[in-house]
Amino acid sequence: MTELLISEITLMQRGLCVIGLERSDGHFRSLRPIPPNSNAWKQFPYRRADKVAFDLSSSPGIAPHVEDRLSAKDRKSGSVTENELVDCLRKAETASSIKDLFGCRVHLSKRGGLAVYVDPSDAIRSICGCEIESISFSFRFYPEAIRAALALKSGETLDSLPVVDCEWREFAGDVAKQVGNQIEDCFDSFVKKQLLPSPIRFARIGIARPDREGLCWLMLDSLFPLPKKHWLKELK
Amino acid sequence: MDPQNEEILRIRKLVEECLRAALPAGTVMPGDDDDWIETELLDSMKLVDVLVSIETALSFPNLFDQTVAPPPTTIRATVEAIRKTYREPIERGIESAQTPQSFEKRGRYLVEIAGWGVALGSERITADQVEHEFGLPPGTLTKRAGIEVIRRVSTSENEVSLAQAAAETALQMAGFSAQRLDWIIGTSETLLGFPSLAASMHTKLLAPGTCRVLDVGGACVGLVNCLTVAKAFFGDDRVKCILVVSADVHSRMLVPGRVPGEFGGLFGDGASAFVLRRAEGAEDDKRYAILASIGGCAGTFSSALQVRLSSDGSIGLNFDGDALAHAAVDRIERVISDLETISGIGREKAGGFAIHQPNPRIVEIILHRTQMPPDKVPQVARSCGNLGSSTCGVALSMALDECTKKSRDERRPIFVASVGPGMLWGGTLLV
Repeated sequence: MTELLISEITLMQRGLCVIGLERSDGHFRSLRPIPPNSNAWKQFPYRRADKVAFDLSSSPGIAPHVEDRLSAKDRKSGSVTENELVDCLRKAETASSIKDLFGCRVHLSKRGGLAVYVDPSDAIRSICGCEIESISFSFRFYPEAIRAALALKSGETLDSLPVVDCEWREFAGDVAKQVGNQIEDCFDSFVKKQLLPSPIRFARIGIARPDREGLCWLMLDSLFPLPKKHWLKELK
Repeated sequence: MDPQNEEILRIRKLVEECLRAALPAGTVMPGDDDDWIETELLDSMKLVDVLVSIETALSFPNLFDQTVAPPPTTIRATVEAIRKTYREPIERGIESAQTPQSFEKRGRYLVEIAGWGVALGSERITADQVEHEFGLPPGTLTKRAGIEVIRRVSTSENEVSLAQAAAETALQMAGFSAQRLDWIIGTSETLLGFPSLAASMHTKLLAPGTCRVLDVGGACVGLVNCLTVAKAFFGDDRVKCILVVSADVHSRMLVPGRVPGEFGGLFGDGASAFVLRRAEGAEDDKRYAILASIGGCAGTFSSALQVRLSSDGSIGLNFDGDALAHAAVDRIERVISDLETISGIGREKAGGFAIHQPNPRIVEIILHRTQMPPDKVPQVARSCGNLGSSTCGVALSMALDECTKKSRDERRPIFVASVGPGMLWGGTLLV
């Protein structure tokens, strides 16, 4: 059995995608437990920061999703705090520049927006963490899409990352119920104020599986600190 | 057909064009009420792309923000959302008679280029001489970058003298005295002192005291930025004539010992100038006018080129030539296609392309990718080097020289596209 510290639960088109950290010699590496017969989980009974033991075996996953592992017999064995999770993420795959995120250059969408993609044959992995300087959210295409713009420490920006982090999407839904059309202003003022001073401000960027044109789009898989229920009360 | 139905058909056609561009070739167009997401025709990534490309086509950023409803996901809902928000008639292309009269009827104004001019450093330095100066292996600039000659200033020339020469040529062509200027808008990536380029030009040209001056940044996008700013200034009815000028003298800044030759060796010295005026009569139909301008900034590629002046006077340079080349090629291609979308004018109808030219090899890649005919792309970098903000200006002057040889009826549009550190981009379409 392999113990994974669950670091990402993201909402993808076909279900949930889960990533966990495997400890090895004081460092961590990301692995993506895949349920049998599917790339995505219909339901995932654990939460982020849970320690879950899996029976993992190598998967026929194609590069750059080299973290894929077929999984079975999952069982919770404990959990850590959010701060401890971010500590571990900082010891896993990290990069300080966009090029280093996936070991290759990114390309701007040719069709319209500011989303970026990688050529799957260039990328060496499909998940990576980074320290961020700043963030802003766009709800222009909500509820179909929430986009985030991140500024990295390198001074580079990722201007239109789809937010696929389940907790952030759920939180956005709750905020929308409360503030309606003011959701973007609310995120830009209140939520940003919670995020930016935090010592655990950290993001994990993932790349989606190749689309019909064979392009792998970058996404915001995780954003720390995670949203808190009590923020909703403070919003009132 | 009544005007309302005609309008709906025009909007629908535009929506379908943008949708088709995002779908794999041969995909059957969905019905009016088929939901693009539910039918899995589009995922959320592509939905955003389609809606943004519609906003681009209408030159109306954030159009779908105004609808105060979830984003449309069917053809019918998209057409309705546009109709509710977009109050102006959907008119695109040269077919819609972009004359001063037609613009005036819609309460708009047309800005035309009445004159243009160029000045290059008077010294011609062969690329192998430059390789020698910088201690570069033979072939670095000639074979790898494709540069033949670099134009450099003599000891008696500088940014202001080059700009003055270009401006005087432009004013003479326009038949205007400097006394008629309402604004001088300048850009330079090398003149960092004061008085600035625009102020220096005011003095050199003895422009009237009421002529205002402005310096605009953007490095290689500087000239395109100036044209955009100038066009906006014509929104003030009192403004009749603006001089736009660019000048760059790299040879005194990017010298051996201060920057690597692979970077410094690419650059030359030059200037360009354009006299812009508000089109006012039938006579003005003969001149090229600014139809559309676009621009933006993508910090994603900002680390590919960073130039800083340190406190000790040295130059801090971060230059990833490979990354910059790829990003520049992608972006110039997108500027051209966005201009096509906005105007409804395809690149195959163009008479010329004035594009930024980091080096001739990159131009070759751009030509290959965008399928621009080489004879319609004036080559500046090969025979002058990269002239910074003036590259686009010199290329545009050359394109205007060539295109204005033809009669007005045979004249074709000119696409202008540039990229600069940041990564900034800008584009202009002249018709």
